[in-house]
Amino acid sequence: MREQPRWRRYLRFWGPDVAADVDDELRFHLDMLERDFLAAGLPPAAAREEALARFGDPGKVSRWLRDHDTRELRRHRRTEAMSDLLQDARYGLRRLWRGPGFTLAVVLVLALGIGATTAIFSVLDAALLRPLPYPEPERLVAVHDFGETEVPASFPEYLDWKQATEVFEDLGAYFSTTLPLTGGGEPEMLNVVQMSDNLPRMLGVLPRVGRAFAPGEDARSAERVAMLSEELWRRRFGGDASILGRVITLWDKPYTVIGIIPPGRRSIIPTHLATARKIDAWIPLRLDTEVAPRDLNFLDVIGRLRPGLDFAQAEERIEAFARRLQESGVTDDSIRLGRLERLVIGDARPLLVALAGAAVMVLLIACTNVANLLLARSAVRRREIAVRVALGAARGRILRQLLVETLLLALLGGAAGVLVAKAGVAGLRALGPATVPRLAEATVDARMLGFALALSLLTGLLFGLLPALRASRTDLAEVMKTGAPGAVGGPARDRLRGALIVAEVALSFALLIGAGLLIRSLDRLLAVDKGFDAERVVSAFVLLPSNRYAEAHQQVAFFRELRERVAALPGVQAVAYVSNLPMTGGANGGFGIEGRTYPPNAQPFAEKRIASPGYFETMRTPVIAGRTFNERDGAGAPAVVVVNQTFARRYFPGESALGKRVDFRWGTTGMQEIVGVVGDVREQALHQPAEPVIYIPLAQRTTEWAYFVVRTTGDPMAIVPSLRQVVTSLDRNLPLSEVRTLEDLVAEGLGERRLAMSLFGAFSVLSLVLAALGLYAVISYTVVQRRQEIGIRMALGARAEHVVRSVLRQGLALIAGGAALGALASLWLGRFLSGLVFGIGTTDLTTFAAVALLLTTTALLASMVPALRAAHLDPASVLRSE
Amino acid sequence: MGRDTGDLLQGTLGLLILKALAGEERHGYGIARWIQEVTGDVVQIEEGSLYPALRRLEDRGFVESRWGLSENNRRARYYAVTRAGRQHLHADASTWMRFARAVMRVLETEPSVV
Repeated sequence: MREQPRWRRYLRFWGPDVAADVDDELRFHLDMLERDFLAAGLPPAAAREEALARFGDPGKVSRWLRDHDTRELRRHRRTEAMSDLLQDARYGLRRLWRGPGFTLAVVLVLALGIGATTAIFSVLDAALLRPLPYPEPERLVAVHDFGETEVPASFPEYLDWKQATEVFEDLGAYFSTTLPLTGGGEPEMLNVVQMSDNLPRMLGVLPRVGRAFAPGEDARSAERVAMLSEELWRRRFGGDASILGRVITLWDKPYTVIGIIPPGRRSIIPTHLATARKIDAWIPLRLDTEVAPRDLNFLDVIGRLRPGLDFAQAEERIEAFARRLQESGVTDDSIRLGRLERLVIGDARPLLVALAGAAVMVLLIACTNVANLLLARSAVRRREIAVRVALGAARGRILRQLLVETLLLALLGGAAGVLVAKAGVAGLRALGPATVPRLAEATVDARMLGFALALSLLTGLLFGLLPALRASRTDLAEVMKTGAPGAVGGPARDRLRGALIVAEVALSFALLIGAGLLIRSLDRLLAVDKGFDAERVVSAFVLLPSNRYAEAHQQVAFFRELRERVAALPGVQAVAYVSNLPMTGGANGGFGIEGRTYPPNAQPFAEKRIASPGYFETMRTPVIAGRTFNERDGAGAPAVVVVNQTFARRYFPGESALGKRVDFRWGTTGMQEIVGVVGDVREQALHQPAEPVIYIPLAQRTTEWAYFVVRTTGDPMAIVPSLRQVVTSLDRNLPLSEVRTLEDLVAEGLGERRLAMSLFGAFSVLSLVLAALGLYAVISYTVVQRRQEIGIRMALGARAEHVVRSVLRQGLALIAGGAALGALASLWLGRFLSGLVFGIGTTDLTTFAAVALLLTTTALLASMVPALRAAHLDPASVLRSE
Repeated sequence: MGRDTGDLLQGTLGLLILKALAGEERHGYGIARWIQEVTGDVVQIEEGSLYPALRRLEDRGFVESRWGLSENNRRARYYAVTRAGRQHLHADASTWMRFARAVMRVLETEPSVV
């Protein structure tokens, strides 16, 4: 047999043709058979017939072969492509291994970028993207009373809203509180949620054993029942199987245990979901309009929309419903629907937005940096590539080789980034403030790994393609002409690298602005006059059992006794009570002023606090006018109040508030005389300006619960054991809860800002370093490129400073461009930080000037090194080397 | 054997093909002729069925093929047995022989049918 002639091969130039080959093969066989029969003497027609008989059905065989061969060809092509890819990958890995410095730099930069983005995205995912853990969460809405702002509902309002059956299929309400559990061991403060009897069903809270609340069990007259958390049941009752039907004592009242709630996200109410705060017990509301009148707004209301009703329709209908209520004169307020997610996310949105922005910028900087590194590398490799092209390597093949290499780098970076992300999420969970919603749920799960992978591949493709395209479009002659391996690259390449540097500087600028704004805000916040002195003050919460201290005088007596005993403790400077600690909010509402009438929608409004004698002295809140409370302001004495400065200014401008009379309207009757004006205390939060506040003496408006504040001479927490002892000696069934120092309270309020500031700080320093390195690399590179020119100039008498100046000029142009772009971007991006910035504008001139100075100095330093090196070139040796 | 014994041949067709290629490279037509000659026309196969059998052998790596020119200058696909094919042929052939001998012994026992 002979080889088939060479030209035949060109018939299959476009790859194998399966059908033609099969037909060729079978036809050959049939023709040969036919020839045999002809030779044996058969007439042509018979010969053909006989051949077919011998062969069988050629159509059938041909079909089978075509199918088979097509399948095989496809498989073959696949394996071939795979093996090419593997070869590229092997080659790429070898190259990366040989340049460990470059590889490490790229992987590190990518790991930081991808890691930071993935970590932050994991947090965002938990907070914003994962659906709420309730049945049909899209039909659940939060319902608010809306006067001037959104506020919780009052009980009568909740009852009104229940009539809106054209909107809600079901409406439930709850509020969270703390109640002491006594009997059988140490008294303990429990986190308790009181809810309408339908809410467990709405939220899908299902008992593991026992039952949920039955309809009607939230009525005032119903028997008291409770569901316990599995954790409490195991811890406190040893997992006793006969717990159902047992009676426990909450706040001195008997509750029959009817169910055990297993742990899980569903057992958490929406407002607690953010912080994953655990609940120990669920009890029915048991309210009526007498104990919970219309001016007491404390209920969180959740509605389940009627099936098929979308949010916009529901809003329309509820507005109409609210108008009808207003027309009937029940209330002036309207009703607002909110997405349940908003109830969960609360005030954390600005923080989340800021975090996302920062992470994206870090990723962008990492990518520009990597693109720059790749460009620099492809410049170095240009010769190698040119030679390969000259030796006949297809451009596509080289392009693929370069891309595979970049993708390998990106994947390595991504893998390292996952480690960074895991560490980052763990760090955020450990350090992050409790106010970041659902932070505890944040994990780097499979979806996040997918996200990181996609991010790496995208980065690799996007930022590897450009350098690869440029490198593969290499002209051998040009490369060989230019000689020295470093001295390559046309003006286009320089422009691209320059553009990348400008982008990096701009991004750095924006991040630094963010960090600067946040640092200055925190600074301003720390300098805010809180209105009290937090140093060495510890606070704790006491709740009196209502049946043993039912009468007002009993409560007053208890609080006075406790105060006297605590005051006698060594190390205690002063002690007092208040109904709510500063910076934590509290009761507020309308009040009356003697001799004035206001239209119903413009009632005077104030924060309301109950305070004991010595409160302002303990807190060191300055007295502006008049006096503070003393022991003589008792139940029988003339009713008095103290107001803050903002109150005095708003309601009695230009006159003295002292001697004026107001109606406190919170469990009080008649008028009270203003006897003192004190300095403004930040009652809501550190960043919220003071609202008008009325303080009423404890003895004239008694309360079953209060925070006491103790100013100590030494470490405030050291006093806590003896504090507990004093309380136990007075009543062994009284637990002390929420023990913390006021300094901790202040720090808690700053947690979000601190987190944002640290992240922006870390990210911006990182970006600054990356930008400086990028700039250094580019300037060094141009210096090498201009060696000859510089050498000639110096030989012709140019002085060193001229050389330095000419090199620096190039760096300065890039810096100035970047800074200008960055400043413009920051002016726009600043708005996303507005929720976190305090005391300054987001376009704060000082911050912008400081950042511009810092960035310019750093960048100049980075360019100075190569510039000086250029100035020290020896012209003789440069010219000789050419 | 007639054409209706094709089923019986299915398993042994591969063996016959490998044996046909053991000596030299052949195209499908050549294989058919070799089998016809060697078996003295006793084994008659539907020659089209050679091709699927060849593809299966090729898939298993027992034969390989290439395009060449036939004696009368026509483009033809030639098959050759591979090293693995040769090993398979030996193993399969001895199994076949053992089986054939066993059948013979059975048939020769008294009362003999042969």
